[in-house]
Amino acid sequence: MKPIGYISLCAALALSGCIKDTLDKARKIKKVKWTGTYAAPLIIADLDLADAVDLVKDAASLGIQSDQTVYLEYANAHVSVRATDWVKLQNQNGSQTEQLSPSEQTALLTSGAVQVMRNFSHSWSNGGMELDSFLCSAGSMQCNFNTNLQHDGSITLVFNSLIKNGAPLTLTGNFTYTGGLSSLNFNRDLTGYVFDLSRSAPGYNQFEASVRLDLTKSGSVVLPSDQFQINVSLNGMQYRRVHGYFGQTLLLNPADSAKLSVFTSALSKGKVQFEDPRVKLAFTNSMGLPYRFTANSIHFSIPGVSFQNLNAPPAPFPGKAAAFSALPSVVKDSIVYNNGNSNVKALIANEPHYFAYDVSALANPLGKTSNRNFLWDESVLELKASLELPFYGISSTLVLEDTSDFSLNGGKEVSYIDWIRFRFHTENGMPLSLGFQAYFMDSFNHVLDSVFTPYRYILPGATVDAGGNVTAPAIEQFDAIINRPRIAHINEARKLRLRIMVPTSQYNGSPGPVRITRNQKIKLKAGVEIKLSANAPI
Amino acid sequence: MRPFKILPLLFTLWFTRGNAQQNFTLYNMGSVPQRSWMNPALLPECKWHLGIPALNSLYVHASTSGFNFSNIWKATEIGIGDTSVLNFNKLLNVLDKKNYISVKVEQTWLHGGLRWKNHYFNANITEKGAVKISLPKDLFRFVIDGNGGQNLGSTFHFDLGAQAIHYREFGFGYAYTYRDQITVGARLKYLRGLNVVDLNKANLSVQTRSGDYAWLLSSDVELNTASSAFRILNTDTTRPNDFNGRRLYSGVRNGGLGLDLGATYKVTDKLSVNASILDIGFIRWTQNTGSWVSHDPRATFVFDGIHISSKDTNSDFGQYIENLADSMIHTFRLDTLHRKFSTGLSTEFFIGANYKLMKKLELSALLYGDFFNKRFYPGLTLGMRYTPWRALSVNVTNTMYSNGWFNPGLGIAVKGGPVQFYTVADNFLAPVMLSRLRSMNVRFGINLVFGHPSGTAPAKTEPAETDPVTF
Repeated sequence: MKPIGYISLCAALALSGCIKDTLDKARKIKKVKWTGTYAAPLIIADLDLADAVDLVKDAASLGIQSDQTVYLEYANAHVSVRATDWVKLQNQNGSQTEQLSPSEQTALLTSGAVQVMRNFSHSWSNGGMELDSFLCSAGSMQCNFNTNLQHDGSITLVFNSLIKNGAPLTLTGNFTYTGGLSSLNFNRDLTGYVFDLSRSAPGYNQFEASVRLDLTKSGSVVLPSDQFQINVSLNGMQYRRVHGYFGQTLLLNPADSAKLSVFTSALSKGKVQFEDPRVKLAFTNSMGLPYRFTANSIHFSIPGVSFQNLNAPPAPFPGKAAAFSALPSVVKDSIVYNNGNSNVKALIANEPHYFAYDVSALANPLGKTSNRNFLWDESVLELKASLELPFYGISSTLVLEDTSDFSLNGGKEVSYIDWIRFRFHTENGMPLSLGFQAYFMDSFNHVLDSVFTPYRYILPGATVDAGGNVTAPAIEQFDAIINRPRIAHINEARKLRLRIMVPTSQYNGSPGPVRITRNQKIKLKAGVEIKLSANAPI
Repeated sequence: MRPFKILPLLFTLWFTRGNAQQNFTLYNMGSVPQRSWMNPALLPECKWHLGIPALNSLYVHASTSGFNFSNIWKATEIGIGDTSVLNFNKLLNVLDKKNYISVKVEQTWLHGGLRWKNHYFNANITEKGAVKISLPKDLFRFVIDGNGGQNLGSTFHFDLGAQAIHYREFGFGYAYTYRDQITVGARLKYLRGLNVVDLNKANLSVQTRSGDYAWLLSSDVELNTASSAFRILNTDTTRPNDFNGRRLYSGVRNGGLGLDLGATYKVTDKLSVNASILDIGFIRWTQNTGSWVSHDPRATFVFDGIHISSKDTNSDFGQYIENLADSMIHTFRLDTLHRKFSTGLSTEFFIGANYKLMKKLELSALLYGDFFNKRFYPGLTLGMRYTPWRALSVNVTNTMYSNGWFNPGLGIAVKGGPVQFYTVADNFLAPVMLSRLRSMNVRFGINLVFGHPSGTAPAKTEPAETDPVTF
């Protein structure tokens, strides 16, 4: 072998050693090691009391007092009666038959023509109600004229009770005798007509028309049995506005109750003291009639435990009638039972579970007077009964607590977590502190670990003055770190007990009522940082 | 050993490292005419030459500046017994601030040249394609180390870079030798751009605030595309995007110019120096262009958590996330433009010296430099060229480049009659030195070479005395 051959062989052996060395080093790698720390923002919340009480307010809603204090309101659906459900226009049918007087017969025979004048009247029947007038928004009239007179002629009907644009409804027609009965039919839409039913005594329910019959002798005889008949039918009538007297009627008689979830949450323990609770009965009336409200019963109860009446219920309350104007108007009244005129504060201090009432409203309590009633088709009498709990009070030991089954099921992946750090920035403008704790327990309810060790408030309450008004928000930044041993405990936990504490701020270390207003906010910013590490075989 | 017996070895893949042309070894391969592409003043050792069409020069190159096995060993720790542990975090220590992956293919369709008196003319038509991707170290640092811990407050710069380009080069070279001592040369290149996808700018950054872990994001992106055959980015639905392959071979749009300059100076009979600068130029893309450009290059977006407000009326979390994404997309929205743009060539330079130690043995030193992604990459090659017979020339080099000091190169040219076969690689041991494997390249081809510059046939067993040898 020549030198270059030896060189090539040696080089090949040396180089093959390089490959083997590389592969051997690669085969020796049995584990991989890695550490990484990752951070991310979680939430940035800008909350007010509406969000804070979402958990407990259930069917309640929030309101704002004139002094900006927020209140919690428990109320059932409004109870109401509508005018169109109460006063309805009934269909009417009127008929009148007339004969020629002897002088009219003579005039027809001698001069060959005669003018006959009559009045048509119909007494309106509407369930005992007295209708003075109404503006018709829908309805129709069918009018029939027939006669056995053997002569030609014309008829003019002027309905003075039906006015539109200042003119009465007038129907005219000609008829020609051809043997048998002569007949004319009229149909009219009554929309927009004003029914004036007060033109004659007794001043209501009188529907009238004047009838003029012009006859021309045809050569036939005039018989004593000759007559003519007018039939009027009014159907499907609705009103836009109606005047009259609609009777002494029980309009409303509701009995209902509301669950006070703020006191019934199974999670809550401890006491919340409301300084100025009130029961409010609010009326909204757009009917033009007086009414009388009577509170038959208002009480609070804890089923099976207690039943307590609101004391000193007021005398029957006279409700105002809406004033008449070109358009419907509304008048509002209310009755308030507060700490000044009732025992409501003491009753609320017992944290009742239900608030119940039984009330009634009677129309025209004084009966028929000189002041007549009126209704618009949209008129309504409405009652809203509510319990208002202004957030002005003290919460010293209020705790929300719940225990549930829990399983992280983290498996092997959890072992990669070294620690988790939650970073909080809080700015609490409310005079309420918020404490939170989560206890991780085994199946025997033994506490293995907790999130905050030592315990601390997530949101310390704002600073307040002696009157309970916020003077400065509480600003905090803190971290909550869950390290590897605690993560292991959490992974072993089978039950989780959550505990939330919401005490009110204190003034100079002493508890006192604080006020929560609409402008108070909670700003919460949270982020998470997690360190992962692996030292795993490959 | 006859030259043809080592031919199979020449087909072995040669490996080297780097991201530019990487012809450290070819530069001093005096018998290979293609070396004039490295320095237009370097003359061939023949009177005229003609490359076999499509086979005279095929160049393949792939490289990465990042990991190789050697770096992985640096990231290992001693384990239990004879085992070792790979520490991912330590892998970051071996990464550069910017790390690139580069693939190049060059195919020369035609190449020929003629020496006449003191003049040398040559021409070539070469198809060139390259893909370069630049990955920032911060991207890996973000994934492996994370944005928390000690990285809170620091900014991760994800300055990505990428370019895929395909163009055709029509080169015309000329060199002139003055008094057999100074040679100057130039190559003018007309460039015909065929396809390009150029991520000219993708400056993305993320900073995590230490106080609340909020993410501060910014983005400035510019992506340019063009093709002779079709519109790569086509948002205009009124214009059909038909592929027209004929345009790859005809037409004059997407034109460009390139210039190579070089010179050699013969100091003594044994010592010469030389220098060149290559690829000064650009391609102007005008046909089927499409660009995505950041509407607001200074736009920033802060994600400080999921916002919960009393005023929120929409409790659909999915909708919230969708809106958040829409907001981010709107902030960093890209404008689609159809405009002309230019891409520059990767300029590089060589400065060298050659010393003729013996008749058959010559030593060389070559300094190299190139720029890529706003960074300068220098290199130094020391070489030895041995020409035992006129039919065989062997060039052995070692290059110190990109933090690697041992990159042995090998070039071999064999000639039988007028047929010359050559192959060159700058890191020929790489296939077997896996621990150093970062890149591969090989160039080979077949030329027909005729005559001798002096006009007389030299002795068959030794190089021509009149040959400038090192030039």
